[in-house]
Amino acid sequence: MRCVIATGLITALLGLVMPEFAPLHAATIVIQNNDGVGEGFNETDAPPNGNQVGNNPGANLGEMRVNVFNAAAQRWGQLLNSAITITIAAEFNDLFCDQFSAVLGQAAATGTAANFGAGSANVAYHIALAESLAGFNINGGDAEVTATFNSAVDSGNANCLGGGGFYYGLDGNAPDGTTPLFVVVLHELAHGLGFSQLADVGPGGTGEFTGTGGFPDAFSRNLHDLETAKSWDTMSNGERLASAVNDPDLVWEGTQVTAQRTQFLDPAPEVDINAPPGIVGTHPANFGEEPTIVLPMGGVTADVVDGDALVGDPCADTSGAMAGRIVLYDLPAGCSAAFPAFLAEFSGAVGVIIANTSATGLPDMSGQITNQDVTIPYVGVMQQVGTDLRANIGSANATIGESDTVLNGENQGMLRMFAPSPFVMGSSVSHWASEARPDLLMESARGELGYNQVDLTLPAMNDIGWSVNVDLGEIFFMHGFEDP
Amino acid sequence: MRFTATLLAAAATCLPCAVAAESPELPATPRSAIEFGPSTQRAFDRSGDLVSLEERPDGSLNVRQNGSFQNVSVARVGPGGKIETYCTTDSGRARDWMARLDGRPANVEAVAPAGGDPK
Repeated sequence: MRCVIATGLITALLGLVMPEFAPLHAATIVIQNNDGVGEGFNETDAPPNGNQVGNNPGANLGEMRVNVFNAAAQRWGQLLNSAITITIAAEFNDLFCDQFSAVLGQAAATGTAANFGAGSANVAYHIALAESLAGFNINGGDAEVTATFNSAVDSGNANCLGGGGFYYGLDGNAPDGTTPLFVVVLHELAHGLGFSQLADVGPGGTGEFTGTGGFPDAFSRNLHDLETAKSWDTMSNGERLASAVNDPDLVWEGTQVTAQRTQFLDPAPEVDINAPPGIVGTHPANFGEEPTIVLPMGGVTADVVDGDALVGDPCADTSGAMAGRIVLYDLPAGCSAAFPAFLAEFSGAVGVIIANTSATGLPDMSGQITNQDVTIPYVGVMQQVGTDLRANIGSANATIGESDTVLNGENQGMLRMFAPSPFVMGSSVSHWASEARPDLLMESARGELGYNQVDLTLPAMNDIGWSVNVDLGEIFFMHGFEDP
Repeated sequence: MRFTATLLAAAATCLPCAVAAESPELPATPRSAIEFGPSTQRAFDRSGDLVSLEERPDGSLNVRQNGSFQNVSVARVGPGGKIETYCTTDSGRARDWMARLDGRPANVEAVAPAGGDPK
């Protein structure tokens, strides 16, 4: 059954008008229900768990799903301008799910268009954006975005993600064990509206823009590699493949994100080596994932000791020699970085430096300890920094502090993309770097987000060509609260 | 000093009495058991083989991805039963992440120090 089940019509507002685009109003985004009778959006059963409902007024699962999708559609409709109705073909189907993991959903633009009389020549635009620029419907009766979500998640069966189901509340109060559907849909719809690159840059890929018929897509035009000083639309296929895993040098060069990033991102950590003179310098760093880290004003300064030399197993051992010191470890193989940090703090260390064991990039600092807090700052640094410190143990002194000039997740003043190295089993360039703090909607891993938060996604939409319905300079972000 | 579940109080010259130990790794789906259905396999396809092109008389190029080139959100049960989510365009990366083979083991607990405050 296909039917239009709701509209996202918002009273037309005057928005920003880009000189090269037609005058527009807030977008109308409709959800096209592709589910059959009694399934998906038409499911008449209640959610299996009472704590899945929240403030969703729907009478059953189907209505709750409709309300969530409508809310996400309306959110983007409020913020983006288009004279052409955007249709999202949506459905719920049984996708992979077992006790420990699942596919939640998948979404994308249904297609692209290039050389349609608006926008830049020889550039492929995601179809909803193309129609907005063109001022007419390009793809006929087809939907502009496709979205499929997993109905098995709500089976109530513990053999599917523990049985907790999706959380349908239209708020940020998802209980542990549930998956907040709204934020996942908001994220996926952003991809469908244009926040995604369309080159084949995964393992075994060709680097070509296979998703566009060969033209660079509007998103990729904003991807810039600092090492090669090239943007993705000017690279060879081989250069694009290499760039896709070239963290931290793959950045977003669009002017709006670059200008607005200071509104959203906190200062980045850094390590200053104070002594000995031969290795004095300032180095980029990334925080550990424990949310309880406290970095005092002015940072922490201490002599550096070699943790790997003091203990046999950094994941289980500690030493009294760490008291009052900053402890240096190589990124441990047997545990997350939080564990040596916890153990070092236990022994009185004032900070921990984790050196990457790969030659490029900052180390993966993910992982938390559920029943203990780590309050001392623990940061990751590049391999060479660890090598320099280790070669000078006995005279090395360092400060773990905040940068005055660099923000979390950026490089040379531009926001980094998710192009992880050494995880060369496939990147996901269509996301911001995981080091961005506070967390952003379009990071690959869902972090601590405010309900309805769109943060730098909106300036990015503007960068790729969308006319947006707010003054980007007046968006105010304060750790999850945004206005408007 | 080695921390194990059976370690007795440390020497008075070094540390407060305490023990800490790592818990076993979080259970995860074996990578080989993660089988994506046809629509998800299609979603991950970026070869261009599923794409159809329409060159129009006005010179425009209309492209339909026909279910490919999608972004896929996946989930896994994390520490304390909290659901972690992750979005990717690569099936191998998705499997690695779902199977907790994404590089970092998830040590989730340290046994609370017997002496209370670790410091």
